[in-house]
Amino acid sequence: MTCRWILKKVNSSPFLVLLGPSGCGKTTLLRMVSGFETPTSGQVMIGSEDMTGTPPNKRPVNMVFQSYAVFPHMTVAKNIAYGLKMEGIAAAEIKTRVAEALDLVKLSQFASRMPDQLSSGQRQRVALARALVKKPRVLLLDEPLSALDAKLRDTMRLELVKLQQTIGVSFIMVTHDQDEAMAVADRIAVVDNGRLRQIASPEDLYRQPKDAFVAGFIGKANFFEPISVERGDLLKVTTSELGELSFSLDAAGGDNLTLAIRPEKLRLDEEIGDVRLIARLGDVAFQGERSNVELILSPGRTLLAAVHGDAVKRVGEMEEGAEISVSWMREDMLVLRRDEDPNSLPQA
Amino acid sequence: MNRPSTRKEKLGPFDCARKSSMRLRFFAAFLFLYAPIIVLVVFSFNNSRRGGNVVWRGFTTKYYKKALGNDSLVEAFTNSIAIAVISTLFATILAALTALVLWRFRFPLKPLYEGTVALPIVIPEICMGVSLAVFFSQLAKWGVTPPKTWPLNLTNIIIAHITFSFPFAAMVIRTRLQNFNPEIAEAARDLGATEFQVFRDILIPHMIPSLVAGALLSFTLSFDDFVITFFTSGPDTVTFPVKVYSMVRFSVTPEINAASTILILMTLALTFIAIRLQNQRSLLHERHSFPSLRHKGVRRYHGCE
Repeated sequence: MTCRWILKKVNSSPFLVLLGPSGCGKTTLLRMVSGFETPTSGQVMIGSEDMTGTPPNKRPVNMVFQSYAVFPHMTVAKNIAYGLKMEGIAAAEIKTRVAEALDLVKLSQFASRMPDQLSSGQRQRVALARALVKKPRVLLLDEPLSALDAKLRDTMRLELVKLQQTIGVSFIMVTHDQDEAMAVADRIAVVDNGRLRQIASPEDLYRQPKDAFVAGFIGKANFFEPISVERGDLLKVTTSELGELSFSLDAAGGDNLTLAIRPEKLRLDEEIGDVRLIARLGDVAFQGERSNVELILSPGRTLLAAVHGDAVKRVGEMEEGAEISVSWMREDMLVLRRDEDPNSLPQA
Repeated sequence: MNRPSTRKEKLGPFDCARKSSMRLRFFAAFLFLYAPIIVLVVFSFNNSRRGGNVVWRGFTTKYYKKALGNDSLVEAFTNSIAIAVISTLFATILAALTALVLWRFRFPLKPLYEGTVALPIVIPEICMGVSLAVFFSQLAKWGVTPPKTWPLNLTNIIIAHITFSFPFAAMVIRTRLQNFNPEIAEAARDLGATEFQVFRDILIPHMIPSLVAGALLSFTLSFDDFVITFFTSGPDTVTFPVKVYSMVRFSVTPEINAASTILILMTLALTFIAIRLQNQRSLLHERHSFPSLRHKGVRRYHGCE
């Protein structure tokens, strides 16, 4: 497998998440950091040291594997002690550090259990303790929550964040689940097809996505393809559905642009916004505090709106197929670069 | 409308155990298979001079004493044990190495190599026996003969037994390796272990149940082999099955029944242990687990791999 880029530099951030669709190269990247894969070109730097040719057992990073990879023939305590034993640390010190690690992941009373007497959540905590007890510079987590059931996953998300804050070791986590990434990360690196699309805090990724791929991958967005783009005093973008809209020149570089609007910015039946459309009501999915509404512009062309508050009730009382006015503020729209490299577009 | 369910439910194809005619046939088949062995065991305790005598003349254990007092029979028995122990040792090591190579590496002509390894399983024993006899007699013509001292005088038989028993052990070990989660080895590497330490601390413990099972299998195969041994043994190197065969040619005495019963018991015990070990997740784990936890009804989870 080729990974065409490497994060040129991952500024030290406490909790970095590599996010991307499956097969995009994020696990390969993590395995390069841990030493199980060798990059065809480029370097792997940890701190200021070049680690490109260093075998995994000599690197100051530790990994939590997707299957946890707990040693099935060792007790919990022996699992955690294994890495320290390999370092040649004295038995007495191993004992105290194992006890500390067990305490950290709240498994003290399970020290002498075998892994198959533990639940999957407990086994994962053994994997965490086993890696953290080595005091790594960076802890690598490969889809650590994907094998847990939904409820446990939510608890473990919070525990991971708390754990990171307690011990102060940098975490790099790989996931394909954007909700998970948003919940835990300080910074998210969006990866696609072996390339870094954007690296930013979760808020910035959502509010200022760099391009159409990121906007579509982080949250949902309605896209409008322009017919023409003109640059004069202002950036004038014309689309068949919205007509001509003007933006400031620094909204985005290049001419290969697209416009997008987030579903929650759409107003239904209230003429507040300065961009207006008439649509027909499609499916309404009631979600409690909000409803996800499908709006049909023309056959085969739909927009998605997320409505809150009074609008939930109002929309719920309308009949499917009824005409409805849609509006939003022009300044809420995102002007996004489209990918210039056709090879790296997500496969349809 | 619900139909009254008084009608007898029709039996499905896998409900045969509920049909009494089927049960009867099942029982008959087992009787056919095991009656001779049961008769053999029962008549080893018969107080009669001839083993073929089907008249019960009272219970005795004197033929067990007689069998154990028969020097040539005991010698054949010790020969068999020595051959089985030594050939098992070599066969298991060879099998483990073969299984590791087939599991870990890709190399040219691998399918051919795999097929060749498994060949002794399908080749008729008589062909193996003849070919080995020819091979050793050719060696003898060139002056290559085993030394006369015990147990080195058994070398030919030991070599023969290694060749036919190691493929069985290799298959058992390879099946076990197939279930190995490579992430576990990577985790050990990640925690600072060298390749050799991973092999010693992770892979060997994983293989242990299959090593024991493979060893027991090749021990059993070696101990009761007749055909191949017959072709490779000489007048000074008689094994237990070959000895029993030569005794039967004169007359079947209850002594042979007694000796065979001992052999059956040994084979049964070893096979039973081999099957038990195969079904266990890990031998080491059994040794270290806490029986008290199971009594308290702690739920046991099975592998995450």
